[in-house]
Amino acid sequence: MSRPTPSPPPLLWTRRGYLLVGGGAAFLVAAVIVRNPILILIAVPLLVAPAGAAFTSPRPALTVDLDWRAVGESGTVRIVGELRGRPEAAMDDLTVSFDRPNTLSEDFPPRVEWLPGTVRFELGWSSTHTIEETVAPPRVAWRDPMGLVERSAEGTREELALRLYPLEFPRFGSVRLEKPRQLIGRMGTRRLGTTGEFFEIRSATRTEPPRRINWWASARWGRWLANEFEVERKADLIVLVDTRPSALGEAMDERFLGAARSAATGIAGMFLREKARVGYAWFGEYLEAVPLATGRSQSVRIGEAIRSTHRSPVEGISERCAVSLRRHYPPGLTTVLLSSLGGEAACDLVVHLRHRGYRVIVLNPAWSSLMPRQSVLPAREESMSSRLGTLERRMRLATIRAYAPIIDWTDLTSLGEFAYRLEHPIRARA
Amino acid sequence: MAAPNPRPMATARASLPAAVLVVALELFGLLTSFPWFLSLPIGGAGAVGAIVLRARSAGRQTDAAVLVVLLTLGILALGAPYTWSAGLLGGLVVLALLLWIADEPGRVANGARRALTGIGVVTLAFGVAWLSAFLLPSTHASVGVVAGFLVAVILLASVLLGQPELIERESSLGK
Repeated sequence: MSRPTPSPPPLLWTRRGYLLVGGGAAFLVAAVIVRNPILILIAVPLLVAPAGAAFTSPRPALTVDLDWRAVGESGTVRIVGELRGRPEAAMDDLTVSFDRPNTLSEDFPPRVEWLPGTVRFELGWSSTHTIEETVAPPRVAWRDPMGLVERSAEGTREELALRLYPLEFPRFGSVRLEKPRQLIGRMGTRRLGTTGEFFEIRSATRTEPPRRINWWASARWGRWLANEFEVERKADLIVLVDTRPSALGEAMDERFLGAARSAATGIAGMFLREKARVGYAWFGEYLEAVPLATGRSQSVRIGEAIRSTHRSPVEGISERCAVSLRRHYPPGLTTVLLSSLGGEAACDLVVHLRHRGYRVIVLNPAWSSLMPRQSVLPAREESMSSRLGTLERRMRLATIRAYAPIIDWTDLTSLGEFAYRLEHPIRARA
Repeated sequence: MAAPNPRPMATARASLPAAVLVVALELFGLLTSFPWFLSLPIGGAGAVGAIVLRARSAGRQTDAAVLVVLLTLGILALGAPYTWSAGLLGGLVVLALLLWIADEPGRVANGARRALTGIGVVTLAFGVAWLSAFLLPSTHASVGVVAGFLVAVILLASVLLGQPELIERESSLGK
């Protein structure tokens, strides 16, 4: 019994194909109007050309597998890759196009060379700041030599993760947060566990060692519960990213999110290494949240959530974020808010979070640091716009500083300012 | 084992298909009812303008260049008489145009050779239309009828080719 073969992707006409057929149709209409059959004879090959081009399509359909990797140093990213396809003869008519993330600028146009059965490419991109990006695989299609019809190539092509973290990440081991607010009526005990003073009882994981299981509590509740100790727990932390569209524009928002994803990955990783419980949330139109937890699996969960964090097309109400946050996390937690502060709504968010009882620390990347290296404006206007932007941002920061401490993140290749502020906390003025 | 050499790429320099396009347009211009001092510059300007436009943009403006050629051809065709030579050269201009766009800069060289199958189908369709128009005892109106049938049949064939499941049915399971 043979398996039915899946049908290949459809054969599509290109813009040039439509142009020729449109030209042929115009010749036909003109022939009727001026009553000249010569125009019909000219129209015939124009109308038939895309169909004729379809006859040259490879049989079976082109299958292309992608193998690529990225290397980089100090902000530059070089991506090299190979596309191997079958049938080999059809690879000469392969077209490749690349989608560059907005957070990266192009150092040189894509270099592509065709070899027998293989297409090699090299991309040169760079970034002025840290990034956490997922690059979509190149769009690959067979296009007939005349460029009239094309068909997407099948095959395995995976995304490529680009990560450029701040330099301080490996040295963040000593950063501590203040302990979470004590619950009413809870008493510290003198009973010492394996690694310190008892903190609380929590659900046991599958790989929990028997010494950490609380047998009495497990028997009473009918499910596995484990003890957790103070020394293991440094603090609980929420990393919240504001993904709403801002007045800075889509390109700047994308660059901000690139830096924010990178910072969130690093901050979450650094506290998870310290065995703290970390939650991750992002707010666009609605709040999406990864609950508080610790361990390696939480690191994976947060990593996936960070990679799926993208700019929201719709701006959610700030109060909704604060209300939703209470459904996922208890109040009193330290909340690192990554926001571009590009609009009034971002300022409102800080106020609402404070009113709901969260200890907010705003990590705000400087707008000037997010700007691309190559400016489209003349030098004088560029300087003027930069100064105006700085003034506007300072006004925003001054408003928010009354409610929460702000870390002015100017050097986006480093999180030194953030680490310093955690170790030497500053208080909000109000 | 030595690494395979990269395929040569087509460049924007003048090539044989470009020369064929210029000659075909000029000859077609000469056969029109326009005076030669008008038709020759129009044909030449259209062809050379398209070639220069494509060359200067390194292939990015090929569609605009095709439009220039089609406009030039349209202007000249308005003055073309209904003779076998004018009909033949009009079709040859389109075939030369297809050959020229197959030699596109930025793609692997010898595109015109790889496009021969497609151009062959177009040539066949045009040949049938031209023969039926001038060699068969027919009226002017039958040219349109024949052309319409031809285009419909070839479009149907291409649709079937694009959806092989319509013509490559497998035997039913279990038989």
